[in-house]
Amino acid sequence: MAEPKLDTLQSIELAEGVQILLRPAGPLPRAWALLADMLLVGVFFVAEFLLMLLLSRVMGFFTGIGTWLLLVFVTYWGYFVLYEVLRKGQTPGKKMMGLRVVRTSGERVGWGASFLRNLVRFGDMMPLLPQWQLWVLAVGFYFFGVASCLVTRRFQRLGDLVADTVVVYAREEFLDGVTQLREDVTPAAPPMVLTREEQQAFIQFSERASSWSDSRKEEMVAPLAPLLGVQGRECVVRALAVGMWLRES
Amino acid sequence: MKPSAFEEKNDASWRELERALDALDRGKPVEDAAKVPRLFRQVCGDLALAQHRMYGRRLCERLNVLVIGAYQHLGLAARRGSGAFVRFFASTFPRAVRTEHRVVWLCMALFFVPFAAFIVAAYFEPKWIFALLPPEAQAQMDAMYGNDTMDDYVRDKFGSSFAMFGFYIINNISIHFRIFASGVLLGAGAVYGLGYQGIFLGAMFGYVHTSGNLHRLYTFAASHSSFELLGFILGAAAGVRIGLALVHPGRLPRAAAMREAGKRALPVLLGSTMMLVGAAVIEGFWSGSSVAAWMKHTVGILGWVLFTVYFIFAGRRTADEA
Repeated sequence: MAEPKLDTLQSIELAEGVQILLRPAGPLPRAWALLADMLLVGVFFVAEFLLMLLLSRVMGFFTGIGTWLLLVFVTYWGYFVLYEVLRKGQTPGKKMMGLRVVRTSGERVGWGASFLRNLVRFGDMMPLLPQWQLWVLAVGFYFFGVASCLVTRRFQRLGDLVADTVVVYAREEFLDGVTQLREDVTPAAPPMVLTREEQQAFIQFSERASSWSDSRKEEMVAPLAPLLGVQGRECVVRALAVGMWLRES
Repeated sequence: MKPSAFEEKNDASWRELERALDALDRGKPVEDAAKVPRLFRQVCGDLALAQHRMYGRRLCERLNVLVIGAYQHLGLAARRGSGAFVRFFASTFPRAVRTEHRVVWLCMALFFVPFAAFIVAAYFEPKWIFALLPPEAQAQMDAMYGNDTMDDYVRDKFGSSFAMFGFYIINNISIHFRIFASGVLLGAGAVYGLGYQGIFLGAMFGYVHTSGNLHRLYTFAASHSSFELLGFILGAAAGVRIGLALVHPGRLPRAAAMREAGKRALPVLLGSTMMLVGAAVIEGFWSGSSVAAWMKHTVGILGWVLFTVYFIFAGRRTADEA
């Protein structure tokens, strides 16, 4: 087991010798994506029912029913697989939430992996309540899926574990916090030599500072007060100045 | 070098790669496609530099997204060609089944033991059946396989056969998928699903044995029986394989054991699904047709013999290559 980390970023080293970072998505955005997908599947079902009515008029009752059953089957079991493979890991719901399914290696999902993870979905959605079952087409409460998401490092449900996939944010929202700082800061060199980790801490502090309240910032820099020689708000400004200096140099 | 200077210097080539990836995403032709791998390698180097020099999150994120995008396009598995389908059924599938012979035998037992037990029990004591089959189900069995019903079950029209085919696809394959998927939950779902099917089918057969027309039942069920029963059992075995990895991961960590089990189970699952599609075709268009009974019986026996031979011998010679 690797040492515990502060964030959920997964770093993967490519054959090119460079590390990429994947940010796995937690249960909540995935639940919204799933809800949107389920609504869309419902729309498909209605459309297929109307098509069935039309077909049975034109080509006979039994042909209409047979076509309808096949379409419902493909929609229910194939919706996720077809979208994930043909749309580069994104069902419409995932696209809406900015999510994407990838292999844990960062590659795109293929037919086999997508098929596995979406069949095991039925196990993830247990328990089913009888009144929620529409004949063979069930909807469940994802008890196992959520439980598995919460105990795995990459928020993987059982289907993800079996198929070796992970749901990640497709695109990072990178707001550059430095441009939105409320404090008036001029970059300044640190008073002593810093290690890489320390430099990184200063840089990230200045990049993310605009998203915290003033009192939180003061609380965070409090341990630095003896080093920087100032207290409270002054200390925050000094720390930001160091961060910006490190970043620009 | 300052981050702004770094960005200025390389922005043109990043934008070029971004444009190429965008075109690829939309499925449009890319100008200078041959340049993409070179741009990718360059942007990999840029990302490594930006990370090492701590150029800040915005720049690193931009390059990170770019590298992932390019990697996903360049890392696509080569298409396996039309031979893949033949190769799958000629060797991959039967070999995967033989590798999993222990879970397959377990699932065979889980189905056939209750099935046989109920037929035997019904023969000596019909009360067993009444405990399981509600009166409506009995009435339905009487209507389908009774002694005094006419041979009107034969479906002559293409339309109704097609409707039944659709029904068998959605009903049987959904059950198949569900038995597989619930097998992942420690194998319990597959055990329950198979046992239930075994008991229920056993009761049905037992009922027809005591008070129905056996000839009709076997004539209808014979042709697709091998495809359908073996398909269900193999699908359940694939699920149990994964469920067992969770219970008994051996020397691997559980997550890794599940991953490995997923790889091993996939060919069994795909093959068994195709068997059930075959079963639905036969059940929809052949079993209910007006073909002579002896032909249906022959097809049924042939199915069992051929599947036995297939699973024992197919793909043995290719074992060294794979």
